[in-house]
Amino acid sequence: MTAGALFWLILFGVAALMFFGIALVVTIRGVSDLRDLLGSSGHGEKDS
Amino acid sequence: MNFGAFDWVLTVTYLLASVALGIWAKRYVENLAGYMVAGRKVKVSLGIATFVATELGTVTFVYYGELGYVAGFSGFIIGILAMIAYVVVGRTGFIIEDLRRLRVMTIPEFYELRYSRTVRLLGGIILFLGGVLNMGIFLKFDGIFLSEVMGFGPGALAIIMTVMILIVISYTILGGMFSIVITDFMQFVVLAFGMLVATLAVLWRIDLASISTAVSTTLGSSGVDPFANPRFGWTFVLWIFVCSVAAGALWQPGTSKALASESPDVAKKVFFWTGFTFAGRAMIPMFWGVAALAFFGPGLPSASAMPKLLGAVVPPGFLGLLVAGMLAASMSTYSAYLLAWSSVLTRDVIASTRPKDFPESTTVFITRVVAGVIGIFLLVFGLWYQIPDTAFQYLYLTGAMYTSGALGCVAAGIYWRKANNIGAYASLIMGAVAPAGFLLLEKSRDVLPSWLGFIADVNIAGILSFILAALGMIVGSLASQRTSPPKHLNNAEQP
Repeated sequence: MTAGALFWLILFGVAALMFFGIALVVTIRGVSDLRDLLGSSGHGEKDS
Repeated sequence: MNFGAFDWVLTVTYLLASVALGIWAKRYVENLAGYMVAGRKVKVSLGIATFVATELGTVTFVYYGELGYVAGFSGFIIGILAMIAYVVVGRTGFIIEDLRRLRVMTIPEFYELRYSRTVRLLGGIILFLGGVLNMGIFLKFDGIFLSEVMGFGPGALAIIMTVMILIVISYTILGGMFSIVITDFMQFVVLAFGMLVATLAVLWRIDLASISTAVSTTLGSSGVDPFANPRFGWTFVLWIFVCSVAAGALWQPGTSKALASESPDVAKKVFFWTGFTFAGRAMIPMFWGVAALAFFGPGLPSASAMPKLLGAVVPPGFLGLLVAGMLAASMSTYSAYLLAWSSVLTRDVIASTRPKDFPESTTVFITRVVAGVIGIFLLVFGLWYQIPDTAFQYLYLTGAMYTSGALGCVAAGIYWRKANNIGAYASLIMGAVAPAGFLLLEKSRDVLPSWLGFIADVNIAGILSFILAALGMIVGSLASQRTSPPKHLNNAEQP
């Protein structure tokens, strides 16, 4: 494996970890955000 | 055909759930702010989910996969540049913090506050044209991806495109930003899982050493060094970085996530954390593209190499999950873009030609009609237009048509007291000239005089648009301070 390829593959690994790590946290915490958003908005209001 | 019965069940169930959820969200639309910016009540995690889902469509996977296939690891630099740009925008609040504080719903609204209603009209027209042209190729690329992965071949392209756009139009028209945020969250979870499945499948079937060998034997040093790659180079790197900062702050579908945030501080956090996902957003599909080079070798049509790879390495059963993930990615992007461009045409173009704004209910009605018309246009445009260069460069160039002028107008409007109407007109027009020139002249580059040849270079046209826009703002404003005194935001509007 060339040094250039190794360099980019390590960066790819870090980027993938950040992406999937943030995705996991956002999935868990986003549920309560979604509940807050729907709870603080009117239900069945007439559309304008 | 690669698709089995279980794959079909997963995909159809997912599509039906998306439409039902999107239409159900219509009940939360109480007024114009509810329709356009979800009542400005979105918190950090939900904001990140909807932002990532908007900025990750199937077209994103296809154009990044294409770059990985033709340029190897060199293209990975784009992910690093985008990450830095969005993190900087989030950390500093560059532009987005002030726009959110001003409570605008579209970016051209700022032009009227700071300049005039006519600048808003011009800015709205350029934003709308750049935006719709930019979105014009999404459907086509999504169709290519899905027909290759599912194994239908190119014959199914038109049918897949039609079904997708009809589904998205149905819920975007009805529920606006509320539908988008709610469906985006579900789509974010499904698309992230789909990406994980695809990445693991690729890593399982293709070892890293053979990927490295394929890049070095096919592409040599241009496969690992972006500055040695003739497709990229210094002009490309500089253009993409400036474009990423401008798009980060001023690309309406993305910026609307800041405008829908609960507060300016939440908007900054959403951009900051989303920025860290942007390296992966680019590098993950590029990695699939590089793996396609190792798996098939060079010579395949560049846009379909990566989808072919996924169709070959992802096992049946998981393929349905992957397709559902990609459909999720596409639908979340279409819905946000449809709402963004229909809002701009309604509020900033049609309404700006009248002395007073429309009543809220009329604005929502017109926005819904316009979203439907844009959807039909996209279907027709996507079927016949042939894309110059790679899709990636086409997308950034059509984006630059608007973002370059907008960066000049909004950044100067917020941070430079001498910015005035004339500078704004000059910035918007001059920013659009180079990209429009490229799109018009690219196909006749052979007959261009040599001194005009640079305009047919996509990287030079891109960077030139930002330089001309900045010059237009500075020279135009300084030359006309007496005849056109700058208008300042009043105290209530002052960020």
